[in-house]
Amino acid sequence: MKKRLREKGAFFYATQGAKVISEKEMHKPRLPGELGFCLALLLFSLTALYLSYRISGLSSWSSAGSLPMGASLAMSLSSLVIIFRELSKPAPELRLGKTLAQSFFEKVFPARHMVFIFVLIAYMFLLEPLGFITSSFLYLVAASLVLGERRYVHMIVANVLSLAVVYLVFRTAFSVVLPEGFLERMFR
Amino acid sequence: MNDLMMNISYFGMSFLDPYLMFLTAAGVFFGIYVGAIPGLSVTMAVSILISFTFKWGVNEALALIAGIYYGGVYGGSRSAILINVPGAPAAIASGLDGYPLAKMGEAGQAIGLTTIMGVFGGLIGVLCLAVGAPMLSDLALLFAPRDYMMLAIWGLLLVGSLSGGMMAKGVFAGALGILFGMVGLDPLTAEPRFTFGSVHLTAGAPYVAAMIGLFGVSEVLVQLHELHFPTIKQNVSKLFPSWSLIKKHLPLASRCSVLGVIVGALPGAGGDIAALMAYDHAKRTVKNPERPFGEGAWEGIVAPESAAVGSVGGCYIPMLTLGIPGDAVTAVIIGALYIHGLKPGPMMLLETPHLFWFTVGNLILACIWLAVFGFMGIKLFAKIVEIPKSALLPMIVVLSAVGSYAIENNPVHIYWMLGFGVVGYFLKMYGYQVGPVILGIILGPLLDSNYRRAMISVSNDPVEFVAEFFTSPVSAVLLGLLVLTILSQTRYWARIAGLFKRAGAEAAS
Amino acid sequence: MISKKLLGAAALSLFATVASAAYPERDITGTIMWGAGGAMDVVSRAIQPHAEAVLGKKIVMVNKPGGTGAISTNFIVNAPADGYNILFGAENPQLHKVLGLAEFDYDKFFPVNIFARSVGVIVVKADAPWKTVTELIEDAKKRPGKVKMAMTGPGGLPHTVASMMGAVTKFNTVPVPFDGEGPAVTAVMGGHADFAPVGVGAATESIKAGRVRALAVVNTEPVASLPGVPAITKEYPDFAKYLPWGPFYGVFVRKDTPDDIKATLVAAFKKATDNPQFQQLMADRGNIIMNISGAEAEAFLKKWQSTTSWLLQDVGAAKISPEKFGIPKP
Repeated sequence: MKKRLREKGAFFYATQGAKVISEKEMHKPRLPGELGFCLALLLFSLTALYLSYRISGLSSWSSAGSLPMGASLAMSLSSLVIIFRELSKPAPELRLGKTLAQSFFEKVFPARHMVFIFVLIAYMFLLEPLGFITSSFLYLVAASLVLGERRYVHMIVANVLSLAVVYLVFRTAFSVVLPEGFLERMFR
Repeated sequence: MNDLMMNISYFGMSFLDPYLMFLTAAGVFFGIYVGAIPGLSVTMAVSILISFTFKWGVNEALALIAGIYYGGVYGGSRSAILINVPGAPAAIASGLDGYPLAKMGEAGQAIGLTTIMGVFGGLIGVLCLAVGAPMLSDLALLFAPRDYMMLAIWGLLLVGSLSGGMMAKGVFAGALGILFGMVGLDPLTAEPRFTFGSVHLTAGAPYVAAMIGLFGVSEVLVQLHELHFPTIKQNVSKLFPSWSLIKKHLPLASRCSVLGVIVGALPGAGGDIAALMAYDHAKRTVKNPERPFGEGAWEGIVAPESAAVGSVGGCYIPMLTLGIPGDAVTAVIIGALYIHGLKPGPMMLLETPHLFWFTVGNLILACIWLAVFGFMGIKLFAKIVEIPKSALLPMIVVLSAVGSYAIENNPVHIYWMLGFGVVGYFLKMYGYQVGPVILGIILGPLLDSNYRRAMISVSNDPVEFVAEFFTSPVSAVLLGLLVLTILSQTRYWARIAGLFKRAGAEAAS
Repeated sequence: MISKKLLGAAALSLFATVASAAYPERDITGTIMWGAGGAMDVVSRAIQPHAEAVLGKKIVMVNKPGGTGAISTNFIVNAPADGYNILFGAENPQLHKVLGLAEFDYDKFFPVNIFARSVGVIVVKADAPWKTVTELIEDAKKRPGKVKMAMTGPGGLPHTVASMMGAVTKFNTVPVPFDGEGPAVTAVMGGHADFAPVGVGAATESIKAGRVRALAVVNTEPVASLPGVPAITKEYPDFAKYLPWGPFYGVFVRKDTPDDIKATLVAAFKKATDNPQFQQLMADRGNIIMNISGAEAEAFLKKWQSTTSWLLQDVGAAKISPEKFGIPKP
């Protein structure tokens, strides 16, 4: 049972985060990349602290930079506490012959995630030039393929139908003007 | 006597006129969908209605708007419960326990319970409006900037209960949210903060896009890990919660509704803040929930839902009595009133006396329709969760993108959404919760501008700043409550409470 | 010869009518500079149905707030100049240059109509000791750092009127910025600030109800919606050099839009602004109807920009000096 939980690893952490508050949790090994992430957050906090200071310095109690400085100071201090706590946990368990980086890309940021995000970025950039319907259709098809959908006809029909509903609801019922491409102009 | 008869007839207007009845119903129905779709807001819908209804009578327009308002505030929790993407900021808290319920196959009953509690909260809200409007609006005027500041701090205490495993991680996430809330031109001095010279950053981090990204997109990314998990069958055989379940939670719902009314009546604080504070209240006062908070506690959906819908009645209070908006929606309604030839302000109820009791009656009618439509279509909605992930997840992303775009018709908001989504994913993976981040984004600006306003008011004199907390009655009461709340979280509290209990027991024996 | 010219003119005018009859042949998109619920939003949506009635096509309204208006002006400047993208805008772009928000202002636009402008009024709490602006200002001078003024961020009406007061009277108050004119009036009502310079529209109803008291209107003469409230120039004639001044609401298209389309729009919005229902709304909100377009509106825009930019420069709120953009001193 315990082993199974560990294999679930990252997903278990992410979804059950609120549940596992026990002391035992403190002795669980770190996830691959966790320490690096916390260090990055510390660096980010310190940069934010510097930028907050730059807004208006320590000129007055009510300066525009006062709360940003407070917030980034709290971030910096809490990151230090977090790093200290993380260091007291055992190092990530690596499977035989795997490097830390390999197991990071396996457990935390697998290839599927990267491709999924890449497709999403492409969608964002194509939204305005191609218009809502075309770009969303392409995105839906691409994303479903990434997620392993193989019932092609079914997928295309469902995507076309749901996009038509979304477009009609937004455009006519709520008069939200979605980005228009050649397809939308044809219907106008 | 004559007055009473008149008021009763105004009150009954929308119940007796079938057309008003229909408009209110249509509003509620339409509103539930506006609320459930992230990015479509009640503010936007009411704004569109202004030019749509300008030829109508003012009663007809108000009936439609009231329906949309109630439907929209309520509808936000549906998407929060089903797919963990809050349809509106007021529904963020409802998703904290609602989504775990859906994961257990209880989405149907969860939505049923939110409907009951929403309607209950709504009715309490209207009741407070009817009996306490002048008093509550005068109370709202007494709130000084420092009191709003304390309200923001009070809300931020919720970080403690949202932080999950490690408190430090919760503090970090909350502070990160506050920092994001500071991006843009400072509203007080127009100094740029973290804008890096870009015009697009001057408006700040759009918090609806942040909400959609942190909850929607990051959730989709997390779910990519569980693609092979079977979809959860939703139990929709029993939508109406049992009477004992309702009865058990009525006291909590009453307290949260009143909290919602008060927060709603304050200009500049609306349903989103009310719901978060109510969630916090529930978490502090309910000692033994059936299931722990964050894992599907019924209390975790009862409290925010009753407070959010209850806040509507509160938001109407300053609008009707003083012409001051209680939140963004009532600001638009005030514009609509102008277009219909009314003059919102302290004189409005004297010049158009029917308006008050007509509104009260109409809001009650809207609550009744909410009870009707709230139970319709749940089965259909619940089916959404049963769609295979490979089709559902991309569709959630498309809706999130459209929703982010629709907030201000600005593609930049989609970039924000994606950015928050990816950051939120990594935060979630490494055991940070995203709840505190959105809490900070919502409450940070409230804290920032009111702290500085209070400080500026005393010419930056910290001694006088502190002194004012004790010289003003409102501030003194709020400070007392705030200190008690903080103390109750420490271990000393249990010891003091134990002493009192023992003393009480001894006295009794 | 003459007949040829006449014929030519007739042909031209025929052509013009044909062209303007062709416009608009589809729905127009109206971009609103501010978000839902703001004053600009209400004014735009109030005039929309009247303009639609004249134009015979729908105007689809879209809010594009952000960057104190710079997002919407950028959008329109980059949209085709075909009259199908019109901008419902307020005064803000005229300050974009000095506030460093954009490289251009309404000089890239043609003012189709400036519907109305607002007027400032100075209000105090109903039971405040001061009866006139002079009493208020003398008291503020006697107790430096004690009298609190509610205002808004740079560029807004309260801030600009406060700057005018500062320049004319050299008084010393504690300026507390609030989120808008409404919240500023609310703060005065609740006693969290002693006085506020705000737009007449934001205060009229509270003045009538006796919640706050008006000391003076910031105009060269009293305004109809506030009878009995004196003009500020009565006590401080020096104000006259800044007046008339007030935020305004208008509708704009790109400057290089074809002339016949401009003419169609100008005629349509002139008629829409004349609509009694719209006029009543403007009066209720304490605005003064202007209904000007073309060269007259451009002159108004220039004067407004010169007054306000230099005021901001003088109180140190401008990021870039108006001199750099060749904005003349008032």
